[in-house]
Amino acid sequence: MKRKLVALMALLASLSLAQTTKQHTVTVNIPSVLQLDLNATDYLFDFANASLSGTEAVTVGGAPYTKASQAAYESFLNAASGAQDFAPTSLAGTGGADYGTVNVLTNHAQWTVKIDSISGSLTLGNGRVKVFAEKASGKGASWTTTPTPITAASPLTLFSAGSNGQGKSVYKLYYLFTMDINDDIPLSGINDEQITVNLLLTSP
Amino acid sequence: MKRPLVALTGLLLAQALAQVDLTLSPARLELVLPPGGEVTETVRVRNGLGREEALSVALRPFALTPQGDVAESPERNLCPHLTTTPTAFTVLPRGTAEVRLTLKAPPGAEGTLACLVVFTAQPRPTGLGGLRITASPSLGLAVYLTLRGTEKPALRAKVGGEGKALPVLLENPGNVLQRLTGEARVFDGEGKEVARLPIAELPVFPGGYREFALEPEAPLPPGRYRVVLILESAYGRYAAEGVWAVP
Repeated sequence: MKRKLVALMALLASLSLAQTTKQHTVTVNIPSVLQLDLNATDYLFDFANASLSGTEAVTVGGAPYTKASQAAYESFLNAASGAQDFAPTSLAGTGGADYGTVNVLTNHAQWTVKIDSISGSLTLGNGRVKVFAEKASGKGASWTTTPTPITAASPLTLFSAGSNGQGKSVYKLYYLFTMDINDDIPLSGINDEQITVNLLLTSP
Repeated sequence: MKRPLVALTGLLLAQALAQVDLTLSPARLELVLPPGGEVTETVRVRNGLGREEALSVALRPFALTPQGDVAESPERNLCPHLTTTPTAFTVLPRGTAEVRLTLKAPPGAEGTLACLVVFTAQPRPTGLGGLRITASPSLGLAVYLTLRGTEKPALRAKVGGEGKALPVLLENPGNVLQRLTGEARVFDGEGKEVARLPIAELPVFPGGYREFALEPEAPLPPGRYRVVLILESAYGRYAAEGVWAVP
């Protein structure tokens, strides 16, 4: 009797197991993701900086650009001709790198990063600021083939993926400042001026 | 002693890295409503950093350029029919904020309307002195609303031409957003398939066009190829054929 009961229980257990298996539910939840992460939020051009020797340079798009400093500026005045693009004296938030890093993380094929607007104005003109975006890894392509004035277009597309943009894409972002030998600088100097560049990421 | 110092430096560098880390979910909204209908959707904004992030919300009408970029445009303006709650908010450290979007489908309008909901972080406080450039990051949520019963879908596709990448032209003479997925199938002179070039989620704005080139993973040998483009959207399937000359 006992053996029969055990056999019956085993049968019932296997039946209930089979039923449970039939009722398994697989729930899939995949969020749509569009992420923007950038490190450098403050690029400083200090032509009164006395701690740099005037020879420090940053390579942007294959060409060297001298970092802004008093020594570099005086050397530019000494040459007394044309215009020169300078790299920032320092950047905040990059952990020592001479460029800002922008990361785009998404599960969508198409996205665009552009300068959407600029607020504030510099005495020498906002057109003196140039931007260069260089692809470090991932998807899409840069729209800046050379350092381009941030006022060249409004909005100004920096980089984008027209297709297959899914995953993580990393771009280096450089800013340069143009000095012109014909600039007549006020007696009080130009100091403590700031503009804010608004970067917009969209997946259309 | 040297090792902990190296580790500490590494930690400080890592901490110095992200200044802004924002995630938008979903990345865009595509809704269908009958004229006069209303819907409320929730969008989540996540702050990946260990400090608060104050955000403001702005609405901007837009259209898509031939390159697929978002450009401000007053045509097909959905913004007057869209409200967000709240319009300014703070996301807690490593927190998520929910924003409600209420859309009312305007009676009398036809096809697809669009509005870009822009979430902007405040510019970072900076030091003093010199000339400074600061960055203020934004995430744009593209919102499309199609009015049910008023759709007039259409698509014209042209594929082929000359180049290392395959030229494609897609025109949308209809009144609805066409979001196209499919592929271009490439055949050699003997009719053997030599490549498949995928297209995913490609938007073509109503009344607009898209011009682009599909690059094969590995360059094809010079020659003439027959190309068949097959695309699919919510409104149907489309096909086009052409000749591609690879120099």
